[in-house]
Amino acid sequence: MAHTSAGGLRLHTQRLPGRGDGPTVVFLHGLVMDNLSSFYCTLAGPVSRAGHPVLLYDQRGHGRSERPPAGYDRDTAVADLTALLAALGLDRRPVHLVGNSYGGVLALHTALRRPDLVASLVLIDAQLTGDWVEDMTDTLSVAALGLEHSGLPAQLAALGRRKEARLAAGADALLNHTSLIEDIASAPPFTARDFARLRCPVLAVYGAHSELLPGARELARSAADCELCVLPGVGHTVLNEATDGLCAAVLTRLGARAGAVAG
Amino acid sequence: MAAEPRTERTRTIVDEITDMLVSVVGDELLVVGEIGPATTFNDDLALESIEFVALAELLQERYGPSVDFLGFLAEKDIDQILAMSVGELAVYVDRVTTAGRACAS
Repeated sequence: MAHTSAGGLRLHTQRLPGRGDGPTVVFLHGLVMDNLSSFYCTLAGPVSRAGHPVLLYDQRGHGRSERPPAGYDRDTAVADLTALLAALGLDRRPVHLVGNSYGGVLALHTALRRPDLVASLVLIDAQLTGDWVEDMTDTLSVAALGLEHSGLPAQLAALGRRKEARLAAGADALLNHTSLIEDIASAPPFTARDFARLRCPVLAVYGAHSELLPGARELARSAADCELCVLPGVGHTVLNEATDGLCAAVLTRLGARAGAVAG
Repeated sequence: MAAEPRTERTRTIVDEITDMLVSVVGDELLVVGEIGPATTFNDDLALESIEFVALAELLQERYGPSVDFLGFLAEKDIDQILAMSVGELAVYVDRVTTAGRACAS
């Protein structure tokens, strides 16, 4: 099974080949109910077929990676990614980071903390500004409380809803038995000054109905090189519900950048 | 709907897929009951996408690169793939690996 030991942690990874020696495209999935399969089943194949080597991994506590009790803050996520790239020998040149939702937050934080590691960013409906930290931790806390007190996983199992029961049990383990919620709550929101510090090119792909669009507009105003692509008819679930439009935007961006480097 | 494996080879592949499923999901899978050709990944096994990714990796290790889950995903979406039965997957594996051997010879 494809596990890589990174910084003492076993992370589930999947690598897909590219052609030539272009930079690797690294995918960062979203929070709690998400894992690498959402990118594996959407963008990873087309990006690999277009010639770019691909790395997918399950963040700590998610999917088939190890679930330690602590270390769900952004800096530790950057350390996990750095250790993973080193373990795979991918740390000799910058990589492209593609992050969905909270994965976009981690990608952006990585570009701010370790600009040497990042060739470019693609942020997919990521929560960048405003009270989202409070909103999200509130939502997660309510969910955690519900899972703990209702015995929801057991109830679902009794109803024969095995899939929902298993998903709920995974969320319960992460929300009620790790420091994830407090780690996320302790993170300050990004500021225009952060955006202005970004040195790499950024593509931001957002849903036209997304509540998170104002943050993306602020990013596009403040960052030196940010293209904002707004996809019609979709809200936050760009990756799953506007896959074709997103894929076209990402491939155009990666192709153009690869051409620019080659030229 | 479920394709009934017709050959000795597809029956063997069903058995191997069953072993792989237990190694991916764990013993918890055994409470579902016996896994056979008609067992479906979604309805019967409640397999998650991430577990199918792990299963696909084991299949490729065992049967080689012609078992191409990503190529499969270019034709069907993950929900359609998870709606398949173990027997249907075995027939697919049998078909692509037999074609691979024919090309190689």
